[in-house]
Amino acid sequence: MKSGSLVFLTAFVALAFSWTGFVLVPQLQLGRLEAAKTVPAGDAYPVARSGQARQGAEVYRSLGCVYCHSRQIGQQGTTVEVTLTSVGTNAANVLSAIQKAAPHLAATASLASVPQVLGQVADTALADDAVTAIAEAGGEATVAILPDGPDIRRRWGRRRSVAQDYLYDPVVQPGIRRFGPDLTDAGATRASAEWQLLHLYAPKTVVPDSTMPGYPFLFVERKIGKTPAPDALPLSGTFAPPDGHEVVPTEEAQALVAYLLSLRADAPLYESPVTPPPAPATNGVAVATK
Amino acid sequence: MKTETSQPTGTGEIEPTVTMTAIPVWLMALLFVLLFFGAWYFDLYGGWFDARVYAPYRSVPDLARYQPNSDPDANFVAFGKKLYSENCAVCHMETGVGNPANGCPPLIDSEWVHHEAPDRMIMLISRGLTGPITVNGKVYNTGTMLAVGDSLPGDEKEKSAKIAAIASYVRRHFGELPGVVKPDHAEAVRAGIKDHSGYFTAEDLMKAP
Repeated sequence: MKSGSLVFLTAFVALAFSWTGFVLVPQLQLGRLEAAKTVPAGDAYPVARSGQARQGAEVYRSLGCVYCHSRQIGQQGTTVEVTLTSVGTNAANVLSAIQKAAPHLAATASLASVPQVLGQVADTALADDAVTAIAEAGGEATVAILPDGPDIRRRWGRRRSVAQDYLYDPVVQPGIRRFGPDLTDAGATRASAEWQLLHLYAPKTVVPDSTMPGYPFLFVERKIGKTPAPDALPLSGTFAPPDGHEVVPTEEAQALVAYLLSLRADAPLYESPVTPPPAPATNGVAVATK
Repeated sequence: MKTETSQPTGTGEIEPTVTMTAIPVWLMALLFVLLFFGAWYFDLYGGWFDARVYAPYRSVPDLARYQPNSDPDANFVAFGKKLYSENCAVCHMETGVGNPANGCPPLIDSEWVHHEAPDRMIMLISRGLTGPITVNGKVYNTGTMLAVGDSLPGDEKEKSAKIAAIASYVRRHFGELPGVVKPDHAEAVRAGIKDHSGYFTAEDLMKAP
């Protein structure tokens, strides 16, 4: 070959260039990622998982949950919303303040009912100006930063996933298929351990049209002793064990549930700003036992 | 480059030779279109190589547009600033230098403003002050501060909130004290002085925390 060294060199440079871009630079940027602070509260994030939840992560991995459940939220846009929470004593004053600070917000403002969503502004600086103007007029208003996208509308997460969210995952399993829902925020939307255990044992007990297979081998069916076990599943109908028997979760099931409940990614970070909901999330849907 | 036929050789075979031809214009145009697309795509999704920038954010300045207000009390203090301009700046001036010629003490470098507990300031703003007061080593004796706080419009709760806002602004701006005075605290302090009629004196204020 006449120009073998040139071909080799060209191939080498091409490969080295892409390796630098795809491997080296991301490693330099994110390789030494450390726990960050949430914005603006300043809490440490992420929080290390409990030992049981870390064992559950291994169960999650061994059962191949990742083949049907992703753990990554996408986002298409962000809106900044101003909500009027109080008009104070002089509603007309507040209205003129809104008109002055953000005219397009005043168009729909009726001030008859509070709290009232006034509308969206371009960025948080404008929103803060509007809130200040309303405050000066004697009213009160709040600003909400609301990420938007199909995943977020399904309530799979409150904001997009970022590298920080996976910091304490020894094996990152973002997943590529969604035969089941995304689990990024599972601990917030389904915060009931009992719901999770029932769902693992027989998904149709709590989600009638679920296509997920049951994992009964994570549970033990046994004769009831002197007293029923406190952690026995409240099963009934076709799912109920034979009379005099009960279904109790094994340590693996408990660990997996502890892991699922630890899955939360709604902390507001600099790279993914979001206004957390005012009240803590409720315990998800009621357990359907009948 | 393209292959052209040239002079026939003796054996009847055609000897291929290579000559140079110009790159077609359409290829150049395509390259520029691709270059433009690449630059546009990079601007949209490249994040300018900053690890903090994820889609849908395009750059750090774009991301900064969506950052929450890092100071949750900023609006309250801004409210206080407006009230200060309307009610206090006539004598104490926007810059807080006061009007010593008319017996009005400054707020900058004032031990009263730098005082840690806000109670004295709440009392002072509520009922005003008469008699001599020493500020930064100088005695101011000729002026009387009116009961600005009590004359603010609104019910007791609103008055307390407004006085707390003014105190917050003054403490933060002239006293370099962090945090704000809570309206609840102002209300409590004002409840404690509701039996006091007329102006306070400096001695009265010294008794408060």
